Amino acid sequence: MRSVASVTFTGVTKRYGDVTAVDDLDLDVADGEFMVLLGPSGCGKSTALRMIAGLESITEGSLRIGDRVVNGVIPAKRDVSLVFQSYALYPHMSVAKNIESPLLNRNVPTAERKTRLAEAARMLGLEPYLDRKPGELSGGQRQRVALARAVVSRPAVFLMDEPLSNLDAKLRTQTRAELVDLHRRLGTTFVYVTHDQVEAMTMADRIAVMSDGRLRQVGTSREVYDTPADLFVAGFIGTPPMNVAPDPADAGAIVGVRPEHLSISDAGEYAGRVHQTEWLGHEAILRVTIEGAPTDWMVRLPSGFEPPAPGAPIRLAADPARVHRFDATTGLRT
Amino acid sequence: MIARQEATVSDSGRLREALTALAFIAPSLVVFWAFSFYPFQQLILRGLYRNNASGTNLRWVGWEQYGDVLAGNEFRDGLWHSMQFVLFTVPAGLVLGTVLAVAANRRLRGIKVFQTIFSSTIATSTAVASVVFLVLINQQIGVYQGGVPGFGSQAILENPSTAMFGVSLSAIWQNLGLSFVIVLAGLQAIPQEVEEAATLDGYGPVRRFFRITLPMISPVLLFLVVVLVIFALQAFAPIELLTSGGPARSTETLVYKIFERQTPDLLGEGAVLSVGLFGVTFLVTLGQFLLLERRVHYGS
Repeated sequence: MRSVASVTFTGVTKRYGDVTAVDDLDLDVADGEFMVLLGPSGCGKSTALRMIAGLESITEGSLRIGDRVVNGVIPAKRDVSLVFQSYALYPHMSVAKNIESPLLNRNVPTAERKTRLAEAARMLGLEPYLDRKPGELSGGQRQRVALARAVVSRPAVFLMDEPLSNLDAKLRTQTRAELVDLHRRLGTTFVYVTHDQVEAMTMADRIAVMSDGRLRQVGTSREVYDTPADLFVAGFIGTPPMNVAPDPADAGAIVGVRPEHLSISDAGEYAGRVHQTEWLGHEAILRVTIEGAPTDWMVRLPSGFEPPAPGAPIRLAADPARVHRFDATTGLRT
Repeated sequence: MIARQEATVSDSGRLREALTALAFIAPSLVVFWAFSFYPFQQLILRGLYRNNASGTNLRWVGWEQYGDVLAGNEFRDGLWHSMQFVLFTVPAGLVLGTVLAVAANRRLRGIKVFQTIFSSTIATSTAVASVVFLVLINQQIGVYQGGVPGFGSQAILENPSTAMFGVSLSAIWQNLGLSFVIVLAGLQAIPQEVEEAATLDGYGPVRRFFRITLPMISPVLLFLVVVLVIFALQAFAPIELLTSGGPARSTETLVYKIFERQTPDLLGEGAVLSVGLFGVTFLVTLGQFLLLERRVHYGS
């Protein structure tokens, strides 16, 4: 019987001297959920993850895994596994010894250890490499060894700190799908840290968007994309990001429109001038300089569309149901 | 036609490249020849001659002198004393250096002060180190004037059974800074994430040290063993300053015996001993590499 493995942050703060890395974090990761902590570098997401692992102490607040407060529990006793960005394999040990090492220190009987090693190796396709040293493996294989080492101890919570960022683009896409499968098969709680919104959107049950040590929004991929809680989330999620400009009708508001919700129309409410066009094959991105907007607006057009020449005056219409409004002072959605 | 032309061009380019390369390595070749190869060749040749008391009458004896000296008691005694010195200084230096480096390898406020103190003996001359130990353990003026427990009441440096140990103390102390710095550098090269992974995998501090840390710094430790052994085989100053080879010639190492053969009539014998010391150093170092290399893990 597997223990309940929710992770609950209640008012958790981490300070290094005068610097606050994580500020009053309240977050509930449900048992069996795939939660992605998403944000730019330095937003506190890795610190939050390392606090779950016990590698960082908690300055204030309480952290629970299941119904146990773990603030004072040493890392090895938290029933968690962590996959590091650099994989952190032991270079002097064989792949088999690397995978087994969490079991060697927990007095697991030899027979069971061997079974679990074989199971983890099979699950991650590592059987042919068990006698090799990590130095003889490719990046993708090393990454799978790190995953196997995490799987073998059957933890209540899997923690992953940007595990795909050292892989090339093709391998990253493939491993992303494998991780989703792994999560489905294990049914365990995953907490996954990344700065890559594509990883977050494709893998997460829910995404927790963070910036400057604060939690900005928690929701499904669709929720954070369709109803961003503030200007930061609106700008961080989506490629290209949401277009924003002061609302001409309301001085205290900012309007936001996603590039795909704009169209070229002579009756459109936003007047501007074409700056550049980028033709990408499956679509074309139009950069338009809009009067009053802080940056160029991006317009996503179907590839069949013949883009207007740079310098041409243009009017853009927004789908009224898809226009977002934010408070100009607080940045919050209104 | 074009292809042939290209081939000609690239061939002459190669010759030019080789000449340029030669010009670049010429300075080090000259230095190597003048300061290493030529003196060594002269040393070997010198061992083929015996001298009279005034050193003037060189007499060719071929390899006979090599046979006499290298099979003789002097070489054997010198080698034994040198080995004693190695056995006293190298393991102690290795262990103490590692202990200090592990202790100082943490992120604590003020740790740099300790790191500086621990490494300070690098900047101490052998003469100073020897005088420090003379003041500490000399029979007349020492802070500690007794002997080593179990070896009688004679002062450490006065007792033929313990004098080599006394001289070694000074060398251990002096080499400690070097051992400390090298091991510390090795420890700091271990990625923090590996240490953290070990913590999460449930390695306690002791197990982590022996199973993770030690194997990961093994290349550094091999280097240190080789360097310390060579230092020990070459040591001269602490012996000269603390005991002058005594008492009862108990601290006459190979180097010291070579030093004693600087009189004109013994130069040939000294040359043979020097070649012998070179051979011993070479074999010991080679042996270390062959024996220890298999146990060293060079990380990816």
